[in-house]
Amino acid sequence: MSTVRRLAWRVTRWRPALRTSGRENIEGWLFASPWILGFAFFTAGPMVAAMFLGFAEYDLITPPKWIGSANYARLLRDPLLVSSLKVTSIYAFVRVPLVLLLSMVVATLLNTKLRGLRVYRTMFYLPSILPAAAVSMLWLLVFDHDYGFINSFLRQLGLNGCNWLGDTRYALPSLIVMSLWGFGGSMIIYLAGMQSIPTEYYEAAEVDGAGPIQRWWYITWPLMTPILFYNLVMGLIGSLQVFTEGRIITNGGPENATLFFVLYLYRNAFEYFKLGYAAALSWVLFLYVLILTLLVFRSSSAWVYYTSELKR
Amino acid sequence: MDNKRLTRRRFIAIGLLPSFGALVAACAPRVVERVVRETVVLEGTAQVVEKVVTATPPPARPAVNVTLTISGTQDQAKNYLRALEIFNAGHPGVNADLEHVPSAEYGATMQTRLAAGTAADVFQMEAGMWINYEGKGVALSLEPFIASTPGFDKADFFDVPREFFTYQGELYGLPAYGGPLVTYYNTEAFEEVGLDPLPTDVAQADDWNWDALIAAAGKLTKREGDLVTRWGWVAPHEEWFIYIYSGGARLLNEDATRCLLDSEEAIAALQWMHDAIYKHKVAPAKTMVTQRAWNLFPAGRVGVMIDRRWVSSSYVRQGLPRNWRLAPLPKGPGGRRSTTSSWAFSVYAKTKSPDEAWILASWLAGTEGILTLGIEGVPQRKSITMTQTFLADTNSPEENRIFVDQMADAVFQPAKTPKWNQLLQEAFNPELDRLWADKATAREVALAMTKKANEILAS
Repeated sequence: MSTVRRLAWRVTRWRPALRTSGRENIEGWLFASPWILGFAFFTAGPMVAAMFLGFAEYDLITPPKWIGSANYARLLRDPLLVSSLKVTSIYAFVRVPLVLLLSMVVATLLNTKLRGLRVYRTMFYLPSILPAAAVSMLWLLVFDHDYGFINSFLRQLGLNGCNWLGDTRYALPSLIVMSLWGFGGSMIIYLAGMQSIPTEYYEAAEVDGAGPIQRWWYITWPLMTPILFYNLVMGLIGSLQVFTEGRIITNGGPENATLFFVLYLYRNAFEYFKLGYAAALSWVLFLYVLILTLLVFRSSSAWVYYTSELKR
Repeated sequence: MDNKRLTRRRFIAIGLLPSFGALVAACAPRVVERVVRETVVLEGTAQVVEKVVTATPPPARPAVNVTLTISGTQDQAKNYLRALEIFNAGHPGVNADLEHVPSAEYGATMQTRLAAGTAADVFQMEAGMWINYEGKGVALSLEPFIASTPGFDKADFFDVPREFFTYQGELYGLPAYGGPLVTYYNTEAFEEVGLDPLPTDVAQADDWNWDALIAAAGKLTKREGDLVTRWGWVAPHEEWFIYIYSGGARLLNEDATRCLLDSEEAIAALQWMHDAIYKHKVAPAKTMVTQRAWNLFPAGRVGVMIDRRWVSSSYVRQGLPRNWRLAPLPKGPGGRRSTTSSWAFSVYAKTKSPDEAWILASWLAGTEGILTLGIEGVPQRKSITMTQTFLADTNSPEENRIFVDQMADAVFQPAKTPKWNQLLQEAFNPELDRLWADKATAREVALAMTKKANEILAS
């Protein structure tokens, strides 16, 4: 008997009324308690603290000084808040669909019986687990105007390269392209989903005369929508918190063209020592992510298909 | 016969006798000899001398543990470990441990450690940290320790870093390393285009000025079609402050409450930098260089660059060919004024062992500590920079002397305001990006920077 079960049994031993569903209930809570405690102390606690710090002037060293709603009032007239939110939104709204598409396509290609399939899977997955800082340095060399790989290649074709990272028009798209390199995480989840689809479905469709495209569209796609939904939500949340590339490669420039929201928040907290304002900014980001996530959840009933629901 | 029998009792007694003797010997006062290095001035020249010091240590008592936090690379951490071994061997009453934090994480780590009240007894106080921590009680005033340490001379530190770490007349950090910028030039490229070597004596280098830099950079710039294979000079944008100061202008007023970049001198300096890129075409626009100058320079892709001393140490350590030499900064209309920065060893305000922490900090920032750690930048003690050990390190004595001579007129960077980073990120950099991209004139940029900077300073 596990420790949790033993504990639940001891609790319910003296209360017969709890011996059936009640005991399971307590067991459930006890099993979940590490996460609940972790959430309370390491997520909810800091969130509440951040809410209060949003009403204070705080530099981490001297005690917080209550300044009322001054930080929140400043949010309303901060042009960098608006521009960084815009930059982050463009990044997320362009990157997430591209990653979802690319990872779906590659997962479909890798869900076949090819020679050396494991090697291909590893190759595509590997970039997603490399440290972001190291990858950023690599892409810095790829995008360099004079000596970078892309412009050298374009010169071979007789074309002029661009100032990929130094021109306000190309800096953000360049970072988006760079971020696609890490699509392996989504891909591996798609792949796992595709491999869990029973082969009988495909066999039955084949007997009915369905070709590869029809099989993908009528079987794979609907059954993959829950995974697409998961990747969409996680991708959106992750993209709205983008930080490393903007800090290491462009440092928010040129002309704040890559000043992501979290980079701006970080600067306020750890470079300007304005923890109070940074806390207020963090709540803005939280609410923004929450609203977008809720919208995605609301829309899911229209396009996500669960096999359990179909059975009903 | 019985007497000669080795009984069990006698066996134990014989066995314990040497141990007892060793214990008695260990408890007896010992005369310890150790070699220490000191800087002394002999006939007007500073020299590092090694002295054998004999001392009878006080009765043994447990060593007091102190911790040192440093930032830097793994190699630098190894140097510190070696230095602390030497320190611990020479200071039986103190046991110093090292805590190494990678440079990129150092500021945030120290900020949270100080906030949590768990910082190390001694830590590197970077200039960027001090602008925010000054007057907030994170470090102990070192004045009482200095007063009780015979022979400790505050005036031995260069004035600029010493004043930076001074608050209300009291010193809060012992400046260790720092240093101004100098000219690095590629000797092979100079020979190739027929340029004479640059002077090394600052007093004799009046001809090495802004016009001479542009002229030399013009000859050094090499093109193959549209592609520039070697830039004459690289990246005025990386150290644009020095051209503001050398142009006779100032960034901020004395108490860092007002931006002065709208002066005609500052506008002219910005215009000169812009012209180097777009009129003379001898330096790349910022948008064209994603790599730092010090990466491009040893690869022969740059003729002249402006950088600090640690770069030459790094090149030598990497074993790169010595096809470069050093020269003073080019002289501008306002003189030859570099920026300099520094970091210091500070004693944490909440340390439980302030005396031992001071012993460690003063040793690290002293001659022996600096020489054990190895000279990378410019030691911030004048006496060390006059020694042959420093002058013969990495570069020729004449070249090393340039760094020392330029300290006289150097301006400390960052300016002493907690708003410095915000000024850089929000008032200066985005506007300068417009100048480097040729989207705005020097005057427009200077006025916009001044306006934004003054708004930040007033907020």
